Amino acid sequence: MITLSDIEKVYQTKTIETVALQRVNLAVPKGEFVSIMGPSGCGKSTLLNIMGLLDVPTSGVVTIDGQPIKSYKDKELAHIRNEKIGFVFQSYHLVNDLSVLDNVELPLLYRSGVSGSERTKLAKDALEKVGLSARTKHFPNQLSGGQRQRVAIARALIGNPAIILADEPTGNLDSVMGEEVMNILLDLNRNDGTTIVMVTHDENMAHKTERLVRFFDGQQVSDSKVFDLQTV
Amino acid sequence: MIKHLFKLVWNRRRANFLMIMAIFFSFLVLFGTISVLVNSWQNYKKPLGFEPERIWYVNIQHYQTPKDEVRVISEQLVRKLQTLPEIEHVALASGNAAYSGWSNMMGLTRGNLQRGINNVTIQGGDFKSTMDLNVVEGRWFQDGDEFSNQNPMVITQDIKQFFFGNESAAGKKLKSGDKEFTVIGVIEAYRTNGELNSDAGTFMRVSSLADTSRWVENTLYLRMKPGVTSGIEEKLLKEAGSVATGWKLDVKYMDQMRASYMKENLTPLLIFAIICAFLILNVALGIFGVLWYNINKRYSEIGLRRALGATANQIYKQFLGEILVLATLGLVLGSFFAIQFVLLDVMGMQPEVYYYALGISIVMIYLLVIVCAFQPSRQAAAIHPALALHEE
Ligand SMILES: Nc1ncnc2c1ncn2[C@@H]1O[C@H](COP(=O)(O)OP(=O)(O)O)[C@@H](O)[C@H]1O
Ligand SMILES: [Mg+2]
Repeated sequence: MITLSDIEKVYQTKTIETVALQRVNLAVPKGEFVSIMGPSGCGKSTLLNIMGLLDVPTSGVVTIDGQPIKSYKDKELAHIRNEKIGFVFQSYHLVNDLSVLDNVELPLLYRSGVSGSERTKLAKDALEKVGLSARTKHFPNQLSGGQRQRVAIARALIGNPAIILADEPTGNLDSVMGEEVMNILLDLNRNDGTTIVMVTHDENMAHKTERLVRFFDGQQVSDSKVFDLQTV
Repeated sequence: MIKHLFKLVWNRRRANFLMIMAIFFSFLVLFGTISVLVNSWQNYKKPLGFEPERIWYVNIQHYQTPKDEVRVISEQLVRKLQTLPEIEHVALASGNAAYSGWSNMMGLTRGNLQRGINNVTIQGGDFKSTMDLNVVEGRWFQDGDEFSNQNPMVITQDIKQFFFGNESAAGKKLKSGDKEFTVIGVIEAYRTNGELNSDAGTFMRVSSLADTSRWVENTLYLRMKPGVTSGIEEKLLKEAGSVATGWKLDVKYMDQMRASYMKENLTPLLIFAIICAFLILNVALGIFGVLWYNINKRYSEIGLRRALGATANQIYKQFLGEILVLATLGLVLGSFFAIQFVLLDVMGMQPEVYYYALGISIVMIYLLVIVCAFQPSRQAAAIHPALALHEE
């Protein structure tokens, strides 16, 4: 579903050069749920941004759904992001001035040919999936962290993307709420076959996924089936 | 998308309220100022009907001179002045000329039509040549008209239009009370309120100085020859004094009268224009402020929208669109009040003036908003999504 070949990312500022990713080769097959772990600053977010076409690698090729990304033209990237990728962030990134329903509808606003009533219906369906049907008219600041993250997940899945990229989705949540969010992601993966790449600091969460990739200082240091880990 | 923009603006209404009010007030003041400007301009474009250059406007005071003598001396004075080489034409007539501040209205009727009209009585000399009037129909007064029992009158084009429409006016009658006048000619215009103001139209008639039933007009109109300067005023007064001993002649130059009229009328306009400029500057700064604030505060929202599939161009359009929605709200509110003004006819102008002013003000506000929002919106569109979404 996503393949990274020889990806390198170097951040160049006036004074320093930071190598965020080095020779990363990673293939995430369709339907897989992968966890990415590693210490802070090791390049996990950078990796996700490159997978999600939010950032351009310094070198290397990203292939999404069999299509290598050749040109990084804004319009094409935006289109792929909209059609194929759903994002979930640690700090939710909900628009505070929009109701829950409007927040969830956002991705469809950038998709042509979806009518207003269709958007509303799909947003309600998505909210139902995350168990928030009763909160459509609320505003983000009227919700708990766990609820907010569930809204963000509803927003990520409304466009029916093949891939969900989640950057520390439970990072701001206590264990109970984190558990809820994790279960939703697991359901999505199992029931809808959505490919999920999740960055996490939580070993417990990581061990619920199928595969765990560890990073250190911009490099992959291990890649294992979680099944293997548990038996070894 | 438009609905989404309205939603965003509405949900942020508290933050947007001041901006909408600023746009609303600027629009109203702009509308008022532009109405006056358009009105003045439309008046200015219309023919004045006479030529104020080189006209000396002379007010006469007769003091103790007995009435009968005033009539004789006035006649002699006109004749004397006509002989002076510096003077092209002379007329003795009522003083209600443009820029003089005088008016002399009289009601005229024809059937059911009636209208108050400015009334000029000519008592000597050649008023048409002096003022350079333009006869467009019929004829000007000729000798003997002052004694005619037909009461000949010359009217301006707008009066003719009012009473006779497109028909010819010559030979037709107009009444003032019991007195009946006969129209003998139509002149293009004689705007006694000056070029920036509208007026009610004018009619002219002649009377003889010998006619003791009428008072003696005490304003002389002198058309000086080109190149004649105010330096000859003293000589002129001396010549006049040789005929009209003991009278006082007070000379004003019509082009100067006109200049001060212009100044008096344009100064308030200028002040309003300056107020407008300040309000507009205020709106401009407000838009900049709101947008910069928005872009900083909504940094992550921009990143998020990009992640969800918005192109840079769509971000640009969104920010521009939000400001346009704000402007539209301010303008709708403003237009509502502006239209009330128009319906109540607070400013007393032609309806078309308001339509022009409304159109011009709306376009100006939109242009202003677009110009101010352009750069910040571009900036918002240029924000890198990965940076905007970056979290520690
Ligand atoms: N925009 C940037 N400019 C410069 N350096 C950056 C930028 N973004 C990330 N980095 C650096 O790249 C490295 C990896 O960052 P990041 O991918 O955010 O790490 P993680 O998500 O694993 O904590 C860090 O050293 C970070 O400081
Ligand atoms: Mg990170």
